[in-house]
Amino acid sequence: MHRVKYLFNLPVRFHSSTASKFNPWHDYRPYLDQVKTYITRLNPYIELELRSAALNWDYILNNENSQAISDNVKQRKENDFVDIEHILALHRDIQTLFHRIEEKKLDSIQGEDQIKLKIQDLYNYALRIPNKTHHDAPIGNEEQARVVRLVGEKPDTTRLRQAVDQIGQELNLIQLENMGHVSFRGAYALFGDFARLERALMYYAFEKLTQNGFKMVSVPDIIHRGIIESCGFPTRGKRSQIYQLDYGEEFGRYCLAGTSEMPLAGLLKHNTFRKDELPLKLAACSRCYRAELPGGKTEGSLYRVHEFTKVEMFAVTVDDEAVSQEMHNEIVRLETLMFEELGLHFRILDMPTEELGLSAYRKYDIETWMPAKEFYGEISSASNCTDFQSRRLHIKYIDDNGDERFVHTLNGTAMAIPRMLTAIIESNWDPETKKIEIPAPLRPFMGNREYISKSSTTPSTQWIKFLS
Amino acid sequence: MIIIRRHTQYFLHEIRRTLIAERIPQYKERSALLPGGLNTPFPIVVEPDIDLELLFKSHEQLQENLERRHWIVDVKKVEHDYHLWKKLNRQIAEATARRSQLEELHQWGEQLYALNAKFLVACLRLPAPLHGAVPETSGRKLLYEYGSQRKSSLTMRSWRDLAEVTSLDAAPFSSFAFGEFAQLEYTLLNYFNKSLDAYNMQLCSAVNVVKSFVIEAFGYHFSDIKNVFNIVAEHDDDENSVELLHLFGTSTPLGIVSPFIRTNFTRDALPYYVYSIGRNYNPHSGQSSCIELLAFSNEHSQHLLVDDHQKAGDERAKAFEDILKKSITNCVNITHPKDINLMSNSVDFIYIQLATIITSFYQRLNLPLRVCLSPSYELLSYESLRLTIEVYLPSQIDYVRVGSVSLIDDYLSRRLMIKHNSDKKSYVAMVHARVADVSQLAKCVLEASQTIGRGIKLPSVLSMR
Repeated sequence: MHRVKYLFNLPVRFHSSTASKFNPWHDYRPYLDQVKTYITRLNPYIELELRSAALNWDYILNNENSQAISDNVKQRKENDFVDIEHILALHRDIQTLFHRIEEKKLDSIQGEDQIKLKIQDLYNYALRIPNKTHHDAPIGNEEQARVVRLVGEKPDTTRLRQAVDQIGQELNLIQLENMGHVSFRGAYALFGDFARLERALMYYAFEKLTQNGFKMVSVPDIIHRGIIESCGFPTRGKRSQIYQLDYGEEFGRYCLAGTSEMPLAGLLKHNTFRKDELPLKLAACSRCYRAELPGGKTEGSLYRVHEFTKVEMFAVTVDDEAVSQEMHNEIVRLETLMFEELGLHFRILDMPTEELGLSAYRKYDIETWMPAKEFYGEISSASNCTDFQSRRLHIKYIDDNGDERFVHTLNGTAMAIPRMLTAIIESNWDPETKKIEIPAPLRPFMGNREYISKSSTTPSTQWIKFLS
Repeated sequence: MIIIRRHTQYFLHEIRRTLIAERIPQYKERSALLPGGLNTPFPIVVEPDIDLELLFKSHEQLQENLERRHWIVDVKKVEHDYHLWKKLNRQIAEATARRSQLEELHQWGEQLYALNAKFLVACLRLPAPLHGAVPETSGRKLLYEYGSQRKSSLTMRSWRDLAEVTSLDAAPFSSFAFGEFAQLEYTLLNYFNKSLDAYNMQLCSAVNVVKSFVIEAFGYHFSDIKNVFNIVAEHDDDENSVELLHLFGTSTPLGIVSPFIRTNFTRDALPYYVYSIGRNYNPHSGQSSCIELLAFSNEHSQHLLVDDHQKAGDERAKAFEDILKKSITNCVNITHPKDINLMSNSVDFIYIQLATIITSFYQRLNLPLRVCLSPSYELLSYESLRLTIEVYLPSQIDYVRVGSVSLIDDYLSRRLMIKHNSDKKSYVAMVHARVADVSQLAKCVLEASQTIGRGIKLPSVLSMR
């Protein structure tokens, strides 16, 4: 998470200008303002123009909310990483330090140094507090996910279906074996029509998204860790799925984006919109890199991969929960429309608290039936992050009263290519004719062909088994 | 005070780097292609096979190659090592055959082991021999020019005004492009995709990240953190296991060659043409979208300068250059893919054909372009010859490089074990082409397609479906 390295030497006033002594308990509001001033002047990333996160300190440091925060943390299973009691204890320590300086029991210079350190700690811990949770979200682990809707017919499960890697090898359109010797473990290469199908899915998603008012953005895949962390993804530690780059001056300063939600959110940092500019709907296609744990044979070869192509939606709305929920529903509706047109059988899940990560307030996952491995596999995820990311990245809008308010951000997967390929290829493979039927909406992008069959253009290459 | 602070920062930086280097054992190694020692963190994946005899066949050619590429190498020292290496190998072979001189045998073995780590690794890094057609002049040699350069005018705007592009300190290696400009990139990729499909070339979607031995074969060093994006992958199952990988992109020769490393092409598979569409990451030029093409063949170039009797720009090389020039000039006449013969296995012929095809793609876009041969000092270590395709960008009042065709011959296949015919010594010859750097080309297309007012009228060949 954020590590505060530098504090400005702030001329913070410890003594009240009034005749009566300043008491951080009685004069809570001026005291809290001083703490906030300290936090505002923190510079979490010296090489990046990004102010410290504007967390809702009034809410976090209010003892009355500690139970609600604690319950939320527990429900989301984040209690290994954050403890609200510890944050409140730090808060009390800071109040005591202020008081001791005021009472001249502590040297003001020494005291200020101690306050700075405590505030750093307070800030770093508070960043780990997850977003609030929607009251309707199921509580518990992934098994508690609530099925919102089931679309399409589940294919016949009585007959055995071939997996995408077997089909690919039969058609000579995929290379999986030995790719781990030259790249990531479990790396893959697609050839011919499989590679074309990948591009067709991309183009189809672009077409649908632009028709529905999304603006295409081409995004960088290498971004500063500050942006990734501000989106709610740790870049260090065991929980991290982020690949850090050892490039230039500092190890891990730049990282590989795990999804284009990260660069898109970063693009909007320190932006203030007019109310009539919202909702803002952006879409991007990027190569995503994730330090995933290997999935194993139960999930298939293209399910948990270290790099893949993905088309992502990103939306910004006003901070009205009803408005952002409406946008959330629109994103899910668009995903549903695309997957339905592609002929997939899938279910929409309202995800439970333990599956929300740090940033999501509510999350809908879409799981499609993977015919060969016979399970529902996640192909899409749509999250409403409310103001979690906007408070960290300072994305605001000006409301009708002329006040600046933090926007709500939302994101959703339009097309996660390898998983979509798996579902489409396995569902449409005919083992008798040895052909894959191309879903009708993708045909215009595949030369108006109806089927994928074995092609003679793929060369027969053999892995050289033995070295001399 | 400032000096003290700078010194402190420098020392802290050095300490940090030392700690990282300690944690990443790969950084202490000399080579990933030829890893030495028992505890090396690099697994042996390929067995590089350099033709040392050919490499040291002509002292003059080797010396001239290095000089023309502006490389500073003590050739005499390398040659001395080569003779010592040969002598040791001979002595060991003789002693082993006679089963005598066991003490000396042990000594020679140790000497050879030490020499291998130094000399063979040095030989792996020596550049490819130059092609006879590489210009001897210090500048580029113009082969072909098309279209007139549109001069800047009052009504003309630069791509920066026409496109919505923004840069951010959080992403210094690429800018964000919006709306129509972002879509134009995909439109161009689709155009080249369709054009290459017409020639029955194979699309491949390969990896963006490769291991250290692959980048070493291309002349990069795995611990060079200023020129390479290194990825350090730590495995949860083993805290001490750190994997070093490198981000280059699927649309680089490194990405596209990856599925063919340590493979053997069957007899009838060659010539084979494969292309990829995707990312290209470079610390200096940033992130871009490119289309790369690789051609494999079983016949080697006839114009490489490896013998004393061959000379740069001799008659044979001139004949090659003339055919290349003529073929590119006649690219306007290509009306059907069948007009091009892609069945020949001659790598020199393949080179000419690919240069012609790619130039014709640009001609159809009706952009002012020029095709040049790059001088020797611009060539990368694995390139023997490079032709560049440049398109005019009015706002820059200059041509920008959008494509290239490079002859690689067997330089990479010997290092990465790409063979044919199941024969131990049959290495494939390769031609690499950057069909298009779409991120650059999009700027040129945008400026060329602007109409009076703020409209953009794209060429008709750029229809999406």
